[in-house]
Amino acid sequence: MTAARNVVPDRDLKLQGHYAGICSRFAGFVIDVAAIVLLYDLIGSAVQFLVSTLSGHQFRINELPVLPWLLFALWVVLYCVYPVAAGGRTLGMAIVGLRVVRADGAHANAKQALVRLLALPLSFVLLGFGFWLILLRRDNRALHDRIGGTAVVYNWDARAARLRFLANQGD
Amino acid sequence: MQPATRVVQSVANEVVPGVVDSIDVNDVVQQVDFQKVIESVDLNAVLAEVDLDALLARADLNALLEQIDLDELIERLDVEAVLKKVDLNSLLERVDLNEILEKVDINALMDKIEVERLLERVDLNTVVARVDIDALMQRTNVGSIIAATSTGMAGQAVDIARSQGVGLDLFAQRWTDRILRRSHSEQPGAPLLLDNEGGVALP
Repeated sequence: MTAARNVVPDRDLKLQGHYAGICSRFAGFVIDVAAIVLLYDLIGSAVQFLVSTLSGHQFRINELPVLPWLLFALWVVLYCVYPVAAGGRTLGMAIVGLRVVRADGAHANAKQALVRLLALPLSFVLLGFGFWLILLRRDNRALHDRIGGTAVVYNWDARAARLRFLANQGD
Repeated sequence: MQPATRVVQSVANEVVPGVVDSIDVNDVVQQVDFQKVIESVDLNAVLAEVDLDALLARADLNALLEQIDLDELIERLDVEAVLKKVDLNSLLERVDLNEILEKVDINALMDKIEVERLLERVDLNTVVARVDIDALMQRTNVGSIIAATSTGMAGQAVDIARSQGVGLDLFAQRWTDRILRRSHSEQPGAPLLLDNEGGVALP
C-alpha cells in the first residue's frame, strides 16, 4: 500500500521529543497562517451578519478605521498564545505533529508563548535570518525561539501511527 | 594356717553350698523393690560423673543405628506433635534461604512443572475480574492507542504527511551539514529534560 511506503514508523518513533526540522515547522506555520486568516474571516462574517440582522442596517468591520487591525492582532495573540500555553501547540503544529516546549524541555507557559509570538516578526528581518537559524543551529531554534526561551520538538502519537502502519501492512 | 581357721574353713566349705542351694534367688529378686532403689539413686549425680563424650566415642553408633528399625520408629512417631513443638519461625530465621535457592536448579524445577495442568486449575475469569481495568487503562496508553488506531483515512493521511515532513527535515539538515562541512548526526538532539524523559509527557 502507498501509505506503508511513505511512512517510516520506527524512525518517527525515535524522533519524538527531538528538535523539529525546518520543513515540518514551515508546514505548521503555513497551516497556522491559513487558519488565522480563514477563521478571522469566518468569525468576522458571522459577527457582521449578526450585527446587521439585529441592528437592521448594514454593518462592515472593514469600514471602521482602526478596529479591524486591533481585532485581528488580538485574534492572532489569542490563536497563538492560548493553545501553546494550554497544550503546547497551535492547530498547525498539532496537524504536523510539533510541540513548543521550554528550552530545557519543560512545559512552555503563557509568558514564553507571548514573548515568542512578539519576537516572531524579528525572524523575518534580514531575509528571514531568524528562520535560517533553524537550519544553522544544532538545536534548530529560530530567533524567536531563542528570545522566548523555547524550542520546537516532534511530538505526536507515533506509537499509534506505527500500529496503523503495521495494520496496513497486514491488509 | 591356724588350726581354728582351718576348722572354720572346712565348716564353711560344707555349709555354704547347702545354704546357697537352698536360697531361691528369683524369689529374693522379686522381693526387692527396684522402684525404691532407683528413686534412692541420684541419677543426676551419676550422670554428672559420666563422661558422655568418652562414652559416645567408644560407642559404635553406626552399628547401633543399623539395629534400629527406623521405619517402625517413624511410624510410631507422632510427627504432628513434634511439629507443634517446633518453632518454625525461629528455625526459618536461622536458615539462609538465598543459599538454598542458589542450589536449586530453577530450570529443572520449571521443566517438572506441568504449566498446562497448572493453568487448567486457574480460573482465569476470576483473575480477570480482579483486574482493575480502569486503572490499567490509566496507567498504560492502551486506551489512547485503541482510540488513535481506530481513526480512518484521515489518520493515515496525517501519518503520511508527518512522516514525509520528517523525511524532508532530515534531508535539509543533511545537506546543510554538508554545505557547512560539519559532522552529520543521524538524528537531531533533544532538550535536556526530554532527553532524560523528565520533561513534558510524550505519547
